[in-house]
Amino acid sequence: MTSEVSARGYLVNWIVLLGLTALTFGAAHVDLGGWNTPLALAIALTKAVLIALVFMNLLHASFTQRFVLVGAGLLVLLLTGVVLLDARTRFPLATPPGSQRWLHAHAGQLP
Amino acid sequence: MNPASLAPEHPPSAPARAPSYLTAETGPKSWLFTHDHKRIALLYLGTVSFTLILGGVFALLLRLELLTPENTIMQAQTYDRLFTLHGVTMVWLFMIPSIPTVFGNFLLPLMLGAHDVALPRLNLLSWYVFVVGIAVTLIGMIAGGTDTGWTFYTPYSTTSPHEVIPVLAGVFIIGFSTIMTGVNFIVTIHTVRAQGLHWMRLPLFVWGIYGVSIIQILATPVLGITLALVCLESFLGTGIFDPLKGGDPVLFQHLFWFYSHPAVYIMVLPGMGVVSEVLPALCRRPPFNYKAIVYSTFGIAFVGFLAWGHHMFVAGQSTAANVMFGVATMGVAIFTAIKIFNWVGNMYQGQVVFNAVTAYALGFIFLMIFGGLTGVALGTVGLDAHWHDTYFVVAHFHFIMAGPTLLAFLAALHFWFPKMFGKTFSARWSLIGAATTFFGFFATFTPQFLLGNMGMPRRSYAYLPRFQWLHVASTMGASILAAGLLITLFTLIHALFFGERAPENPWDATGYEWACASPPPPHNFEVTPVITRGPYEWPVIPEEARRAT
Amino acid sequence: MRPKSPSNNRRRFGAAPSSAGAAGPADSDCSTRIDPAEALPQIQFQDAVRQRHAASLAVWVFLSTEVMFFAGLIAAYVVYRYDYPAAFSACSHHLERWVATFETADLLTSSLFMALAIHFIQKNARRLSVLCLALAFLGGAAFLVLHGHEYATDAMEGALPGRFYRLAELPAVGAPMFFALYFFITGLHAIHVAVGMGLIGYLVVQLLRGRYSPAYFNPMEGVGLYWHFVDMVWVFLYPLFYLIH
Repeated sequence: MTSEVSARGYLVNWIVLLGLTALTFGAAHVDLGGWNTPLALAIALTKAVLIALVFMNLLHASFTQRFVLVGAGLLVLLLTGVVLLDARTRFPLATPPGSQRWLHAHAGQLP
Repeated sequence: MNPASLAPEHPPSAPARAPSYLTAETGPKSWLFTHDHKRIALLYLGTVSFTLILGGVFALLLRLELLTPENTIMQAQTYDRLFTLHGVTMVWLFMIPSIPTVFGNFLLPLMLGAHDVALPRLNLLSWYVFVVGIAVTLIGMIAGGTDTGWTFYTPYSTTSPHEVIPVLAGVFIIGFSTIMTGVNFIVTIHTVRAQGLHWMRLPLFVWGIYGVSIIQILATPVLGITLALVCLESFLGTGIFDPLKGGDPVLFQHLFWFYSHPAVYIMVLPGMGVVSEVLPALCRRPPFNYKAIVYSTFGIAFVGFLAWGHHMFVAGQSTAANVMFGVATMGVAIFTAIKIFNWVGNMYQGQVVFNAVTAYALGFIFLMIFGGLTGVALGTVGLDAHWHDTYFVVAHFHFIMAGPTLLAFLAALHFWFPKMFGKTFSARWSLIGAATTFFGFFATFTPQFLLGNMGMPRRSYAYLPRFQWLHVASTMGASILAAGLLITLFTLIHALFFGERAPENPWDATGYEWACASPPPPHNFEVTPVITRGPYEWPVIPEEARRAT
Repeated sequence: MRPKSPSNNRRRFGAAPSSAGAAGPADSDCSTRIDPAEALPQIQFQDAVRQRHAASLAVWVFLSTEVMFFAGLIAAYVVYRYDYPAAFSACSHHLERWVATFETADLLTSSLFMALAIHFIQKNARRLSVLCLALAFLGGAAFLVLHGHEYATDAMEGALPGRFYRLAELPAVGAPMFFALYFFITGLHAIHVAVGMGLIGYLVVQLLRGRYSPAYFNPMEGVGLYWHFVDMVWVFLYPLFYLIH
């Protein structure tokens, strides 16, 4: 896995990453309805991919090395997604007291 | 192996036999600081033999207690600690490490035509970390042990006054050992294969180890972090799993089972690899369908990650999640079934040699079938509502996981005994040991299916009198199982010291590992091999077997 | 058939295993510059290219275990953010965003220097490489200092996990959970930063001793991958904790 990225390439990548950081910081102060979180995550993902492809040389790496991180990433999504699915669809009184679903079930009464 | 590489090595007046890995260096330091994967495998063999006996002693004590409906030899608190320790010891200190660390370590370089694993020093470190983890767990046990069950459910585990933290810490440390082994094996399989050994020529045991290693490295860290969270909560009262502080106990179960369900495949996939390896040799036929076994291994690994919630059907999980997990559970069974059909197809019209190894392999398949069927039944939410937390579940997981892993471990130990030690064992006594072990196992756990169905809850030292006759039957079975294991132990120890010198390839097997000496020299092959045939092709073997040292 | 690589034949099993493990220079003299042509691979590898690939693959596989290590915590975070949206948002606004943004830029810069350090060793510019490593190290140190300051501020206010929580102005249900996750996840990350700094320090020492060259710099690549990964984790933690709308 040679570093086939030039020093200039690294510098450009760095500037792009800083720009994306500024973007995500700015977007957090603007109300985008429900889109703030997905946007922030999308920007974070883009930054992560750039770090991986350029700084970590994944652009020039073997299939196995690329697959490793992608595989782990998919598992993270699986775990998070299913756990969230369960939390969203559980019988409301089986959720932690004070959580939003619990509160809905009690019509606004606090624990 | 290329026969030309074998020819020039043997002058007519052959000198004294070159030293094997066992005798090349002597003294404790040469063992404790070795980089040789074969010696590390033996270090692990000693360690897991100890933990197997330890876990077995716990089991026997439990079964003795269960002979009578009220307390027999211990109080409730002791019983709770014992079943916790039995679970922890058997799962993390024996079953998960056993086949990969002993036979994976020993055989992987041999089967890949290499001189060692990719990362030999990491290999040695993994053993040391394993031993430290066992020591920490033992400290926890001696300090009183924990009574939470091996599943450490919150909020009891975070509020129990007993020694939870050392046991959790020990398991956490062992997890690192597992991860190191997994990393090592993955890198080894990718990078040290001999020339000519492309992916579809890999022995099926290697594929099994590969699948296991992937599951290990991806699942074990989740367990580690979950146990760390429990420790933190126990120590600092963070409230992450405590409903009184807004926490969610079911979240703990999600995180725990996300690891612990793939963990059952970590335990059983190496065993499947062993069976896939010994059956072709003992039936004198290549595998029924090589690719089916390879793909089903990854099918199990992949779908196994989707099914964890079937441990939580009645824990308060949502219906949507229940449905998803139920379907995924059925899916995993398909891949196991593919393997079973393959093994049976392998034996069909083969020239089956019947010995202890065959007995263990057949026992493995038998237990898999019935364990698997009961698993499909348990995967049905409506049925699980009746069986959850009863002995039906206990019998199920012993049938599908504990029994097959143990039998495969013993099968591997017998099959590769001549390779590892250069000695033969008594065919008769090994077969007696195998039959007794299998029969004892069957007799121990079959009554437990009935017990569970009748309503006997698990983890309870006292029970209604109507359950007693089945418990007595189960304890009798456990005694037979213990006897079988003792017979096997003595047979092998006797063979180690007094056994006859084994021929180079007593099974006339085709595996690449049989092409070097038995036991192998320190660097396995005097000349780096070039592979020119598949792993299950006859009849090149006689020339290789004639390669005396 | 003769073996493929002549170097393997040199390692007949007369050699003790540990001596066959020397993947690079002889250790006789600490200040000896190595001759890149002498960098022999270990016995189990057919050539140095395979060994390098193995070293790098090992680190990638290890990084996937680190991803899974954080995965459980992220799952816990996601569930509790879903359960307590208002509390989490309030707590996030309470944290110091500007400091965190600076920390993000700092880690990204540190990553840049790490990448440049490897770039320079491949060009045999050892001194530039050492300089870049030192700057990467300083970047990590700056991160830890700033982060420690954040922790101290929170501790003094009483914004602490679970039963230590004392801050009255944030919702009593949900805020302790936020801070439990905040301290544990960012704390775990900070530990990884500290370990990374130790590894970078080790690299500097080895570089100064002349152990690395364009022909052999596997440990630098490995530590580089680790350091970039640590940066990657922070890239996700930053919006998750500091920028909740």
